Amino acid sequence: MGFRLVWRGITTLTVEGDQLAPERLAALSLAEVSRLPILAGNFSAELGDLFSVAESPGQPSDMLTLEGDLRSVQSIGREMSRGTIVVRGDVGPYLGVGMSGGSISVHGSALSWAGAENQGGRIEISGDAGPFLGASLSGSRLGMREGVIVVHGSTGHDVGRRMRRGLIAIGGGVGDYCGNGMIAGSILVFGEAGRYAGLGMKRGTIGLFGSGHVTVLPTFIATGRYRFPFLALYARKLKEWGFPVAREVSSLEWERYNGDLAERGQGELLVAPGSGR
Amino acid sequence: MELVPMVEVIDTFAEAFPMTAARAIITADTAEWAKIAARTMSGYATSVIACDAEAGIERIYPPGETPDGRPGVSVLVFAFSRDALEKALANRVGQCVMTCPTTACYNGLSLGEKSISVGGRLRYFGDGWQISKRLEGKRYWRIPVMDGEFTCEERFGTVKGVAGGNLILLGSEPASTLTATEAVVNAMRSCPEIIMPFPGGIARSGSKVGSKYKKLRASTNTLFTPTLRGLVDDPPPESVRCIYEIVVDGLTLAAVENAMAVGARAACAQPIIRLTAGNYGGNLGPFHIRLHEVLAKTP
Repeated sequence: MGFRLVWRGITTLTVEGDQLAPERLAALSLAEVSRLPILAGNFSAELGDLFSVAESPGQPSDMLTLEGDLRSVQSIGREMSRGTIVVRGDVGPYLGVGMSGGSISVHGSALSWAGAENQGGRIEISGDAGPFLGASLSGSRLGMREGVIVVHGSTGHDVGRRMRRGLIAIGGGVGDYCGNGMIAGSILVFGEAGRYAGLGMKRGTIGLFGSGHVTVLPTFIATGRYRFPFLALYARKLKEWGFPVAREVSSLEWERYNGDLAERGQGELLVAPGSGR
Repeated sequence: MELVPMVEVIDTFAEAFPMTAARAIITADTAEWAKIAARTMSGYATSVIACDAEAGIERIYPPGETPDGRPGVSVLVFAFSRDALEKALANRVGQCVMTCPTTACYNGLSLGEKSISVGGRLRYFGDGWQISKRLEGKRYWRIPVMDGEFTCEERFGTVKGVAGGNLILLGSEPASTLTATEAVVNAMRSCPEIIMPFPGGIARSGSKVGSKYKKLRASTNTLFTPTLRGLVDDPPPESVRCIYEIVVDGLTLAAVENAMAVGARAACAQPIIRLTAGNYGGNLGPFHIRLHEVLAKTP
């Protein structure tokens, strides 16, 4: 049986939540989970001090449920490789950073660096996400390397920075520098786009399907309007995951810009006809 | 009311044998272009006696049932080995589907260890400009072409299928026998997971194994050639002037048996003289599909 942890809200210090992964709790008893050491600021505390810990009858042992306003808890699900985390509330930075498998579902919003350098698995955020979603960590050469991140709301800047592979789908708007230095992979944005999308991208796909104007960098070149069958493959899969995708995304023609020509130029920006430049 | 003569159903069996099979789902902007690609891809693929594979259209997909939501057609391809199938399928998709306007091509079977590379071989046509997209463990190749891009799944699943199911219809005169055989083929087209690889589903040059000429692997089936009456042993009955064969390949033995059952029942309602099946004395294939048994099965 899995565990249910309810945030007590007794501190505003940053809490290191990297123990909060199903595989690190699955073999422990309720008492052992409550006594797990956890850092709050410079202080060492026990998990039971910060969370009300209970077993969840009927839930699989590799499932962890977190509840409460967890914005001061960072690195939830860090490097997890299997199992499921369900969060009811907002979460702090570094959600699922470096994860390689399993799934995290947040019924709320996430702060910065969610899914940074992911190597697999799936993260779904029902609210908004902060900057550097699926990005490379500071000083690192590669961002997200595999997996899926789905955000129903909006996100901040530098989404998918130096992303190498995988899929990021964003239902709302996206900040500046989307796909900054992107190496490959796909970022699909269904809301408004910020400036400098695709700056320095080498390969990969950035689909900006919102209705607003898209400022396309001068180092991108228009190639014309086309219908892309692969978008339907993504749309179908996203629908299976409960992410609403308008039918037009897979059936309409999109304008394709090749770039960034300052780099290899094998990336592509897909925008609604007439909305780019 | 037109009287339908009784059809004599010979107590014999069709001798079928295993072949490796794959299913390609071809989509296009219109149903017509998907059909054109599928017909082109399954051309010159009637029999492995002299073709690299046996292939045919399995079914038409309405928009919404295909991977990319466009109109589609599935083609089944059969070959004697996985290596031969990979080569034949990649060549056929490359030359007949990739060349066809607006098309894309997807795997139609579940992927396992015994999969073959199709898009993975064709991607090199992109000359370095091809784009890979990986989703849920499957890789798709986007190859730039003159009307946009050709999307092809990297790997295609294979199964051990069954080939060589057959029905042989013996009629009194050619026109009515052809019409009757067409009706049987039309009935069998509704069956899932099978193809009838010969032209229009019908073969008129049924063959036997071997020949008086050493180089030939197959030659005309003298048992079913009315014009050789008096020259060979066991000729067809005197009243028979025309014989057609329907060959069935399927993804499973059950699919072939079902198609033969549907065909045999349809044949019994046609103005033909005799219904039989082709075999080689049980020495060629491990699957013996008996006509009386498939007819006895509940439709």
